Amino acid sequence: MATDNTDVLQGTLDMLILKALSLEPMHGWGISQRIQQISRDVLQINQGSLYPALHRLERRAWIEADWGTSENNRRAKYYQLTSLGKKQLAEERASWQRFTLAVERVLQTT
Amino acid sequence: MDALHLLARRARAVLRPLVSRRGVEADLDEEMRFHLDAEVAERVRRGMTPDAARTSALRDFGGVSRFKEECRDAWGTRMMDELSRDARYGLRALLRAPAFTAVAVLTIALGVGAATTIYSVVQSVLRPLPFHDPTSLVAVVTTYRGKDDATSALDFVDWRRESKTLAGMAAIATDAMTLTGSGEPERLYAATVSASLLSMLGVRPIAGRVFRTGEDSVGAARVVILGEAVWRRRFSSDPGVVGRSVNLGGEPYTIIGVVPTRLTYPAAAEIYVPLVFPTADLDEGNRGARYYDVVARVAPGAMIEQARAEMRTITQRLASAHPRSDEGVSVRVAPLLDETVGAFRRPLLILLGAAGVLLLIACANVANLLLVRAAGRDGELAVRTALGAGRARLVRQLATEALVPFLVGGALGTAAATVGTRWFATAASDTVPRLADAGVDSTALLFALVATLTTGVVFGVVPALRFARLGVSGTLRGAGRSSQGSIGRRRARTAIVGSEVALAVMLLVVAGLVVRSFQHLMAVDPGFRREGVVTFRLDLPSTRYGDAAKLRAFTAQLDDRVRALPGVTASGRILRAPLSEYNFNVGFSVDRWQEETGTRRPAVQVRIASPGYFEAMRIRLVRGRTFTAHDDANAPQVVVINQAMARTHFAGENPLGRRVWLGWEDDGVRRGGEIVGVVDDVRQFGLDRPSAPEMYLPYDQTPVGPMTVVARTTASPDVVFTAARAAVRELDPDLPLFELSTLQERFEKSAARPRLYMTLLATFAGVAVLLAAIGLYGVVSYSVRQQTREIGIRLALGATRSNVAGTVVGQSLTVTAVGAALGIAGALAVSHLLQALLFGVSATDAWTYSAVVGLIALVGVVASWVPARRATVIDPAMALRND
Repeated sequence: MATDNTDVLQGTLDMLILKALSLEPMHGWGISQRIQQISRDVLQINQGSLYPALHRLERRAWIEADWGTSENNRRAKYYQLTSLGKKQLAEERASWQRFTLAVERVLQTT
Repeated sequence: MDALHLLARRARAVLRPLVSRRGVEADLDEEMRFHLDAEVAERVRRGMTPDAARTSALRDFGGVSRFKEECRDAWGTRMMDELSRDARYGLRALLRAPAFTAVAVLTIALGVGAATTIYSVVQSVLRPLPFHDPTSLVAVVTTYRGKDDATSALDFVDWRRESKTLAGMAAIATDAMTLTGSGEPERLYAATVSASLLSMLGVRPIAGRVFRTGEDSVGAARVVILGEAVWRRRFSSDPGVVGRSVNLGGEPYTIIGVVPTRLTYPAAAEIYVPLVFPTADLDEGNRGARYYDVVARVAPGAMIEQARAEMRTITQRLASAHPRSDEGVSVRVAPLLDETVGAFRRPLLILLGAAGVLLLIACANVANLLLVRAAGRDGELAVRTALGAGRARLVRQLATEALVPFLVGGALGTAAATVGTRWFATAASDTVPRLADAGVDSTALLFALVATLTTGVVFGVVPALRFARLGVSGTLRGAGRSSQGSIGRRRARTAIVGSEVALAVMLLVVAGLVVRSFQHLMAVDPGFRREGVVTFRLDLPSTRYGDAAKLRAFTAQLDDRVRALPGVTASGRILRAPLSEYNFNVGFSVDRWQEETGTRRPAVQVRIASPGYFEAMRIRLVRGRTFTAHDDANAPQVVVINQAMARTHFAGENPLGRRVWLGWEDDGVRRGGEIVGVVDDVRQFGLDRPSAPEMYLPYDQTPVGPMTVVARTTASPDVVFTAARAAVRELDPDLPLFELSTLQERFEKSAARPRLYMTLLATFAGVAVLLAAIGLYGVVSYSVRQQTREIGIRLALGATRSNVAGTVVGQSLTVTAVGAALGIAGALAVSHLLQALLFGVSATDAWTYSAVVGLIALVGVVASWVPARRATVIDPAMALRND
């Protein structure tokens, strides 16, 4: 059973995936690369958490998957955001901002 | 659109892993491979050698199987794995408790089977008629002083001409025609119908065509339409039969079409010929001669209420224009389906209700059984919880276990319903209409399965939830003692068993009343001795036996031949045999014929009998004499009347020597004559219908073509029939014998419908009582087990064994008494609905109700006997130490 701790992290990962996919449909490897690049290698996405997360999001219908062809002409599974996923991203983003803002405030008061 | 798309997507994402496990595993592998290759390519691009890149990528990638497992978790396939494990576990647990399993499975199978069978039968009988736009079809029925009657040709012709709201109005008469030519002569049931009937119904023929307008007018060519069965039997399904000529009743008819059995109306019709009204029927003096049935279709745009109003207006006008024949006559317009199956609706719905109650009892019984089992498993569950099993996991397991007997029982029940529906359709094909192609109704089956399944899940899971709330430690500590939970459970079970008893009592009362009715029916004296009498019918065609002399000559020879048949001790002829429901109602005057009576004349059922008939049937002579050979054409006309007529029309007088005259003239001779005898009443219209006033005329004074031969014989019926066929063939090779049967068979057939209802209801009640007994037994024996300690203490303190046994039986009787009281109240509340099934018994028959109460009390004692015995042998010392 998952502990509360991983839930938070998992939630963050979900948000990052949704955000990455909000730009364009991507395959799993592309998602991990993209997050790594944008975060300037601060955020390393472990495949071990990436794929379970992708399948979980697909089950919730936030993203949907289709087989397509990659840049080097290989069959690859592409994920894209659904309308439900877009809504979810907006919500997660708002609550993340509330959260960071709150943490920031706590840290600033001494 | 978007929502739909989303839903489909989502369903696919959820379902695909469950359905196509291998497919998604392969997808996952391919996805992983792609990721790895992309990673390797990236590292090569950054300057690593391909080999080093692959090694490092693989290392960084980590254990593939672990996160594959996590992906599977995300799909929900783990649940499936666990479910199948639970099912296996459940199956093993059930096999360890064979008695529980057998009872649960059988109960479910019985409930599902019975309810589905009866519902399927009801559905088959009450389903829409198989014709085009069946709801707009109606029967138009003449009524006389509120009672249904047939319709006269003239009324029909006027109706058809004047009605605007009814289309394709058709008259139907039933006739019998003899098919001769190829093979044995065969008597066929012919529907003589208006040419509009089949096209109005929308019947599509298998071959050829249906009647055309005008084919029922005087002088039209003789044409016939074959029913599918005759076509297959006599013409070996040859489609080329259309256009051929066949001989019917001595006349050639051209076959113009073949219609399927499924679309036969009236249902018994074997062939159709156009109805050409005899000129006599269209004579204004015969407006009162009613023997046609009328059907029609409500015209497009009209409503049945409008048709009703219009037909009433038309008929009222006819009644005032022709008061002599139509006074007191009105009309009824009813949906054709109601008219066809109306009489069966109520009994079938009662059966359906009974089957539903049985299903309810079955559900209650299973619920009860599951609760008993749950009670025995508190310890096991507690241990498993202590070992770390999650609550959701345990609940799921219990539900799955509860499911297993339902799957097995459901499968058995489905099989039982299939067999049962077939059985019913065969057994009742003569007594209930529209069963020929009855099949299991899938909606009913689904309903019954879901109902039992829901019970199973609810009563399988609720105890687990209650257990979970109670917690582990309490159960472990209190194991074997009556804890909080088991008291609540016992209450629930007592309530369930009480309701089972109540429902069983209701079914018992219904069955008891119906059984009593049947006993009354069988005890009815039909007015004749039915043992050892064979009967068969003949119909001398007017084409070859046109005059009275020919009829008399033939029947004289026939009588000699019949007397010589094997084992015959007495014989005679009659138009027609009792229980034939043959209606030959003729108006009459006493003493002298009065042409104008001012009011409608009284009517009497007329029968035509040969001298030997009364003796052959052993119909009791009350006074005077019956016919003799001297009552012939040259002798003065005489009649014999029955007791009902003597009572009704000669109350307190001696009818012998009085004269009665019928509204029936032949060759200028008015039928009737001097009353020379009074005989006992005979049931003509069924055992449950009282005898109407009846008059017998001697055959030789009123010879007619149709007749039923009755012969009392000591030989077996088959031997007599074979000999009779040979004897008649010698007299006339083209004359078929038909309706060969014994009086006993006729008698049984007339009681077949009540017998069927009784058999089913009694079976249901029997099963219900058995289930209630099992339930009672379960509750009592469980409570004995729970109270071992208490009983031990009581015994130690000096209670006698019989005290203890009395307490146990008393517990059972308390539940029984409460259940029985509720059941009796329920039965009283619904009993008025039963009236249609009852004969000679009131719906509140005290005898039946007391018998039921006695029986259920007995069941209460018997069901608690074994547990009570067990209680008496409890060893106080053991009971106290064990705790």
